[in-house]
Amino acid sequence: MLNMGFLIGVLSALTAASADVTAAQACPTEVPNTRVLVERFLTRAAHEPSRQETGLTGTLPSSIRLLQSETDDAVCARLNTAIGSSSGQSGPWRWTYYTAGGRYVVAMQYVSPPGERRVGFVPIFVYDASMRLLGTYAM
Amino acid sequence: MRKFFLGCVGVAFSGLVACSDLPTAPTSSQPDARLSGLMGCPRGPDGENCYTLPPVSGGPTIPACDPWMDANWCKGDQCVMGVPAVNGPEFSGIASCPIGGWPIGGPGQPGGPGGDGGSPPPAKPPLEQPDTACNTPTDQIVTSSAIQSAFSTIWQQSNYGLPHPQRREQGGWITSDGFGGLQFTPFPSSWAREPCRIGFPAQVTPPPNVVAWVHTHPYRNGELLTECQQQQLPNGARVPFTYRGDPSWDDDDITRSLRQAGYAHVRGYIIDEDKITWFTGDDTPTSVGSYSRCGY
Repeated sequence: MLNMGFLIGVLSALTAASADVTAAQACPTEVPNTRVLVERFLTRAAHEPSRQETGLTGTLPSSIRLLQSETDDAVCARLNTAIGSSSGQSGPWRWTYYTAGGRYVVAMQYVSPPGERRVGFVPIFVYDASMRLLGTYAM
Repeated sequence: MRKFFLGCVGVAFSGLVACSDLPTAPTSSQPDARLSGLMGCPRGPDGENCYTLPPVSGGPTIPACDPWMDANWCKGDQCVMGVPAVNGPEFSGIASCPIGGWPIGGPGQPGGPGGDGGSPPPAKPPLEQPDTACNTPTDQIVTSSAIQSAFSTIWQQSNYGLPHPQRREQGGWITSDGFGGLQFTPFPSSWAREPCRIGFPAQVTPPPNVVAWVHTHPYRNGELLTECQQQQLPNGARVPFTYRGDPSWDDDDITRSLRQAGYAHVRGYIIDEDKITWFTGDDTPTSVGSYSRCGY
């Protein structure tokens, strides 16, 4: 007869381990209105100096690609480490990972609390292939 | 001396004409169709359409002069472009203006064909005289002395030059007074002012005669924003953001919302250390532009 306590312990450990792996490698689900931030960064005239700083001059919006689990797990894990969260959200913030022009871009949006409509800046972070932060910009 | 024209906005808000945006003054490099007597409202800088006015025939003899440079009405001013008061004496004039604006000497109007020929035209509203020291001739909001004064006030209140924690975005509504002038109304004091944001309510209801909203970004291009709420990363790190003098996504979003809610011609303006930026909220190359800093 199996020791039920032992079995439950093993199952719990396996479940926890599985969750950790998933959390560490999953790319966040795409959040509304984050891709447009990257598009604006690549196209708006005011951000030309930023594009120069990050090596994205001439990169077309059509080259933006969403980082997705399974194909981009390793990159997402590194971005999760850089951001400090694997859930794609923290407090009022939600974010999405993209790649364009050989760079990785984290684009964030803010979810206003009930009764308020915040009008302010949202950030994007641009990393190189080595996960070196090239710049952070108010959008 | 240039006249102050605002008729398109006012008429549009009266629901009579869809003439869309602020007229632009002619530039040396771009002939102004209005000077040809064909256009009642030249295309605004954001490319929106304006209607074409047919040439006015008959009516009193109007002296030839430069319609943009002379404060007196003159040939080429088919329609007075001041903003009429709804239900006021000017209102009936608008209703019969062929396309847009406030007719003077046109068909069916005093002094024009079909008019009574004798009754005096309604008194002209006082014209706001723009601040000609500003080299921004294409935007009657920016050249308005009243609005420039408001720009100066909110810029000073923004505390540019002080440490970032002490800076505050400021802003308000720009409205038509119904007589060709503009007014500024600050946002309610209950709306939070912070270094990097303004706390709008969830439901924004601007004044009905709003033509624009303006707010400050108390920063210069390239400045690192160190006091924005969003700098705190989930891992606790604080990362400054680089300011680039562009409307934020939120700025565009709220402008879009206003236009979609029926304030179809509302523009946004941002004043920062470097320049004045106007925007319509659309993500198109013609939806944003800037002028030299002026009035503040």
